[in-house]
Amino acid sequence: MAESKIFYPSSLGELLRIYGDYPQASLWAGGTAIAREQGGRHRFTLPEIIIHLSQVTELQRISRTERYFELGAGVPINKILKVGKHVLPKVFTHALHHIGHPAVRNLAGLGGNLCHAPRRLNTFGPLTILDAKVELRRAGKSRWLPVARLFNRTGELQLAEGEILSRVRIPFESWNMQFFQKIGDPFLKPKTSLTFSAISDVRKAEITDFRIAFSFIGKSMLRDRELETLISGKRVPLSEKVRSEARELFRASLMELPGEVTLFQKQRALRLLQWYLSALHDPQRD
Amino acid sequence: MRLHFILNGRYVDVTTQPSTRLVDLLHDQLDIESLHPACYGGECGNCAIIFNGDLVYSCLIPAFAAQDASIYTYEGIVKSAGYADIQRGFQEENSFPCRYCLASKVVITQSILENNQDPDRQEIMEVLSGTYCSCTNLNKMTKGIIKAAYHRRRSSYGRK
Repeated sequence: MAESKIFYPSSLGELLRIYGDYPQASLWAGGTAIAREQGGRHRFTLPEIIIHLSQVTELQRISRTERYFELGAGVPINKILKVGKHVLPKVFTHALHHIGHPAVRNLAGLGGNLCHAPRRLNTFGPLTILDAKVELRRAGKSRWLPVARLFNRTGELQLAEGEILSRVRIPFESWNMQFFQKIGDPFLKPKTSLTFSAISDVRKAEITDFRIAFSFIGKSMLRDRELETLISGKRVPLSEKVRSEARELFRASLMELPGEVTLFQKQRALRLLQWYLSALHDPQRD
Repeated sequence: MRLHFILNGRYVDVTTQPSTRLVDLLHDQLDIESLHPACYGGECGNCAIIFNGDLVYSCLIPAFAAQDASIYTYEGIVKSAGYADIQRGFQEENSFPCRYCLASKVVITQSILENNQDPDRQEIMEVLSGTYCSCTNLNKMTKGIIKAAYHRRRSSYGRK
C-alpha cells in the first residue's frame, strides 16, 4: 500500500490553500476518535492524504469578550478545561470532563469531537442548547453556523468542499441550573450509551428558560422544542400534571426516533428526563 | 517517511512508515524499552510519555504526528534532577510500583508535577484512573505522588 501523503501547514492560510487543492484530504488534529476505532491493531490504517493540524496556530487560540468565549477548533480538551473551567458553562465543562481520561484529553480537540461524523459525541448536545456557533472557513470565505445546524436531518456534516471548522463561539448567558450526564461509551457500547444535557433558568420560582438535548447511538439526537415550550414559564416545583404531560410529550418524541435507537436507550432517556423535571427548583431559595 | 523530533533532550532523525504507532517506533527503532506496547487502545497506560509537555499514551499517536515534537520518556526523566523528588516521594510513602509499570507511573508523576506542584488527590486519582496495573494500592500511589510534589516544591525553593 502506498505511503500516505502528509502535509504540515503552519498557518490557517496555508491550511486552506492545501485543503483547496486536496479537498479529499483528511484533517488530522488529535486523531483520538480514529485511534479508538482502530484500537487493537498494530498499525494505523491511514487515509491517502492527511493534513496535520497541530502546527496551525490560529486553531490553537482561546479568546474572550464580554459576550462570548471563542475556542479554536484545535485546542486540546484539557487546555480548554484549564483555561475556562470557572468561566465556561458547567454543562459544557462537564461534557468535556467526560471525554476519556486526562491522557486522551491532552490529545483530543474540540473540533474533532464536534465534527465526528459517525456519532454525536459529548460536546454536541451542550453546545446545541447553549446556542453556540461554529465558524466555517475556506479560502477567501467564512461563515458562522449554529452548532444545531452542523448536521442535517440525516446526520450529514454540513461542511462545503474545502471548508474547515476553525472556531467555536459560546455565548455568555446566565443559567442557574446546568446538568450533563453521560451513560456508557458510544464507541464500545453504542446500543446502550447516551448523553443528556440540560440547562434551565429559574427566577423567583418561575422557569424562565428550559432546554434539553439527548444524543443516542450514531447520529441520533433529540431536542424536543415542544417540551421546552411546555416547561418554560411554569413554576417550580412542577406539578404532577405538568410532569405527566411532559412525559407523554417526550414519549411521543422518542417513538419518532430512528429504529437504531434501542428501547433501552429510550427508557433511560425517559427516566433521566423524569428525574430532571422533579429536580427542578429555585436555586436562589436554597 | 523521514521524521525528526526531540527525544529525551536529543535530536532524533529516523525513517519509518507514517502509520507506525509511536509506541512501536520508540520501542522497536529507538530502544525505549520502558514502554510496553500492550493494549494499542489508550487504556492501560503502559506507553505513557510526555509529548509536547503533556501526558499522552503513545499507542494513540501515529508516527507522522511526532514530526518536530518534543518527547520525554522514563529514560529521560530518570536522568533529570527532578527524578530524586519522585523517588523520595515513592519511598517515603511505601509506594513501589512493579517493574512492569514503574516507568509509566514515573512518567505520569512527572507530568502531574510539571503542570501542578501542589496537586490534590482528586486530580491525581483521575490521572491514575487511566492505568490498568493494580500492583500498588491506589491510595499509596496517590500519597507517593503528593509526597513527591512536596519534595519538588522544596527543591524549587532551594531547600533539601
